[in-house]
Amino acid sequence: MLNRDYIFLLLKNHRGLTLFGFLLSASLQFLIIYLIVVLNPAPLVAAFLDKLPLQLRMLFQQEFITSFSLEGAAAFGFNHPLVLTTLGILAIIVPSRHLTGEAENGTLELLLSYPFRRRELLFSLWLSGSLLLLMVVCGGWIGSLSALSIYHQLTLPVFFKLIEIGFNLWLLFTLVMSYTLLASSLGRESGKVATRSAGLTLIFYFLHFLSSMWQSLAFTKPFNIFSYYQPQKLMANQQSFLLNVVVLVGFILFCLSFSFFHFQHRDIPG
Amino acid sequence: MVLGKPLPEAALEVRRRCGYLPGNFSAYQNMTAEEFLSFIARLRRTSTSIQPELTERFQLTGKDLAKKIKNLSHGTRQKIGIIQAFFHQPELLILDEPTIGLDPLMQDVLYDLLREFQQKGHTIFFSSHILSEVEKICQRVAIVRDGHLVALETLDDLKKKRYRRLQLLLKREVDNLNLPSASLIEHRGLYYEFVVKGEMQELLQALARLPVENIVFPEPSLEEAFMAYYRGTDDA
Repeated sequence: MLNRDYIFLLLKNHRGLTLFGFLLSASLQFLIIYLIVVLNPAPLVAAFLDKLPLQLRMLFQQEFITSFSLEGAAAFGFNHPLVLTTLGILAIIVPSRHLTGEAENGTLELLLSYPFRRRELLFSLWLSGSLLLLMVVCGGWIGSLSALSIYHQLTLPVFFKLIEIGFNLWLLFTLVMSYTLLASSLGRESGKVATRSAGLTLIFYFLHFLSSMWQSLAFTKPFNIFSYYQPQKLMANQQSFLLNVVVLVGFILFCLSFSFFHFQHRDIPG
Repeated sequence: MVLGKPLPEAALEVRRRCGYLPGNFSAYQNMTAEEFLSFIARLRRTSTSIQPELTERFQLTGKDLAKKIKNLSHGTRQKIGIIQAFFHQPELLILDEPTIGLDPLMQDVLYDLLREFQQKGHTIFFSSHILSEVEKICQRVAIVRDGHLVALETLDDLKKKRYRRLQLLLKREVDNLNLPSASLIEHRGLYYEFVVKGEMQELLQALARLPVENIVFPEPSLEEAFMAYYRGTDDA
């Protein structure tokens, strides 16, 4: 089911971006927690917001205020747009380049002439992508846990919450990778597949924000993948981690099985 | 059935025993040639012991093998493609336009290698639009038109069935020149050109009675046979 050599090849091919993501998430988490511990801005922000007119105060959600607490900040690092962007790029680039891209340039045709099953290729590709995403998430864990330990703020509940959040983040982007894999198993041009997957992810992302501000869009929440990853709410025990896992794993399995089916029956142009 | 094995059930085993060079050979651009060949050897779960002999034959130096594939010339890349198809001693070799990008010297190296493979009893599927090289190394020829197999014959049989061109230069004008099994396609003064198909005996007897100054009656080339099939003529 797995091909070790192919997995090593993929991990090696994307080590640059993964290392960048790892360092970015580690340093960002460390920096955010350091700033919160040293400056303790939560009371200042609360006092400032109190002085704002009600209409302006409405613009700032509770999540914004809680992000200035230590737990909130630790969760915020896992939701930073830079980290999400890096993970998104990695999740989209791996399947689109190695499936559609290689079908386009002929490498896939050659690869499939070797004693290498299609499902072995697809599953190895999926696993490599998941491992690369996990490495970036590991950066976030290392950054958070080391900062919390250094400043003596690490408690067991926070430790477990951070593990949950990281795992939830990993599942979210594994889903992004899985639907890109599905699109790649159907598509013929890697550029188009990557653009469409990125577009869909951005739509989900912005819709997630808009639906929390506008009640008329609230009906979209159950259908939005970002609804199943809200780190601040997870940290504050306002969201069920188990529900997130079940929904995301369900979608991942759905995308994976369709990818297997389509790739198994697909003609690889020479 | 391929190599006596049913497809797709035994696809993996068949692929293990086959070598393949695609027409547009493309490999992982960021790998060095050496890394790529080792990667392929590991995928095939075979040893790379034959590689040094092949790299030597194709005049690939250690420097070439240490270069990334994206930095190799088209010809060198093609040599790597040929080596990856050959190095596990496949029983069936499928080569799609293998000489593209190779200089004439390397083309000869490849032809020699293919002949050695033939002599060892291996089967080679050789696809090419360069018919002179097909004539050089193939024993049986298949012609595919619009995705359909229109001919599958030995090279000699294929040529025998084809039209042959007959060019005649006479010493003097002959009225109503007609030759058996031949149709006149061009006539300029004393020069005549025919296409010939069929019995030779009667034709040669008719020619013996003519005042012939010069005669050109070349062997039909594979090119002519191929063109006839591709034009889709009924008598092809």
